[in-house]
Amino acid sequence: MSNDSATALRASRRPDFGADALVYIEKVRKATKRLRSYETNPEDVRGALQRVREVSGFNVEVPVLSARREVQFVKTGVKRLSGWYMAYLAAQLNAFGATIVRLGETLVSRVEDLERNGDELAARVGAVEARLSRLEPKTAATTAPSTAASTSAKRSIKKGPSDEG
Amino acid sequence: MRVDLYLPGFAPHDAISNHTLQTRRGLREAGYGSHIWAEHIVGNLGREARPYQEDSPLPGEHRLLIYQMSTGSAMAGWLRSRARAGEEILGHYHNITPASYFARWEPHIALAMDNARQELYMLAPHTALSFADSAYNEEELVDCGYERTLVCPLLVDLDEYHRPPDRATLDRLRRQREGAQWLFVGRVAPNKCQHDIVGAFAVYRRVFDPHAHLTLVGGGTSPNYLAAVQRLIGELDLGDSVEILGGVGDAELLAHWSVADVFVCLSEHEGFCVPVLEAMELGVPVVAYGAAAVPETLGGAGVVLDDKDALEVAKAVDRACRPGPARDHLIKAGRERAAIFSLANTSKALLAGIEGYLAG
Repeated sequence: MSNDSATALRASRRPDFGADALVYIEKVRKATKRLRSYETNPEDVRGALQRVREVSGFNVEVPVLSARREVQFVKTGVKRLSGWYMAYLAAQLNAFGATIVRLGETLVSRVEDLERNGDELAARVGAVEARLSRLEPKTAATTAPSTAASTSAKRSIKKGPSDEG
Repeated sequence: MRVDLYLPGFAPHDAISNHTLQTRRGLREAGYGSHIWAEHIVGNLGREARPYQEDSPLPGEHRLLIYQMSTGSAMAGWLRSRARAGEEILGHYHNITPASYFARWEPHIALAMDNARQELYMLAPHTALSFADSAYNEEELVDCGYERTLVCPLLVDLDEYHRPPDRATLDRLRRQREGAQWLFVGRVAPNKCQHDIVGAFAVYRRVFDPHAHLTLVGGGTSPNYLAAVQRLIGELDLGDSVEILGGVGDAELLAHWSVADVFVCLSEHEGFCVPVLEAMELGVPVVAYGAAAVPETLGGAGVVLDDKDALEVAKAVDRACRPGPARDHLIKAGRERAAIFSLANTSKALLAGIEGYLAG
């Protein structure tokens, strides 16, 4: 189901790999890469903020392409007539979006600071625990006899002589 | 014995709706009673399906309920309650697009996709047997905890594609175009990666054929993604060489197939990909990215790429478009592959699966 004459015509055409074409290919690669979908990790706060940043700008350049020429004509007309109005709204929305992104950045930085502090605290607590565990055997060895004596004394006070008889 | 069919959305020109209609036809021809029940009934299909809320089993009647699983629906919870009441539930899985594709463009759709997948998990213990359009879909079912599964491709009436195309559209297309005709058919959605097709087409046009033309046919599910693709077309200075048509009628679509030199599919997630089957049936060579179920549906009858780099795709399309034995082989292999998916074959396989289940 192909257009045979056109196909034959194409067969005789030589590909163009000139410098301009290579520049254009790079442009295409960069442009299409921007539109890729990606996996999002629910714990990736910076990644989530990046998603907000990507949608925080409001584009007033409404596409006017259409398969039907008359529809494209109408779309272009509406775009020109309403451009000033859309731009006014979009400026406020863009400012709002930028402020939200700024807020997000502040919160993310704060959370990262807290996490860093938490890590430092955990390291310090770990060091203290290690030190304690090193000191405990020595303390136990030096205090063991007196502890045993006091336990025995406590027991005798608690039970009393009559209980044992 | 009745085998009733349930689906969330019943709409014209929809692959799963058509599959359900064909399933009912096959069941009735085999002597089973069968009705279609849906949550959303679109257009003039009210005579073919009824709202599932009106469904209730007749006392003492033995019936099977087959659920067409492809999206989220309140029907899933209702079917679970039917299973708990002792009715036998079967499934046919047509795949659910991973939410990650929509998270960037339409967060609300991503949420709906997540919910749909949760429903898929929820129904696993209540589904006695589930069909899958492809081995790829079957693997997902097994991952979701479905114990008894069977691959049975989508039911597509390929004879429908041999009706006459819309004459006015065909004349217009033949008059207007002189370069290679690229075609892609499928919803404008991030997982279908129309942006990659536009990119590869831009390179093809720059390097191989400045008169080439790309037509993207298919209704939209993501307005934000569609707008981004339209901006990309402008950014790459493609002007009128790319046409985004939205949904078109069957006859008009056939006109586009009639002038297509190549079908380019760079989709990253497909549970089966009916348009690949259409292309093979209609003798249009396929160049596709080898993701999800696409290589399985193609079965070696098309060019499968491991890389979506725009230049690599453009080179592959150039080879597929050049007249000669390679192109002839692609066309012949495609037609042979499509014959395997004939309605007679797939109907028979599905009926055998249902009767195998009934026989225990």
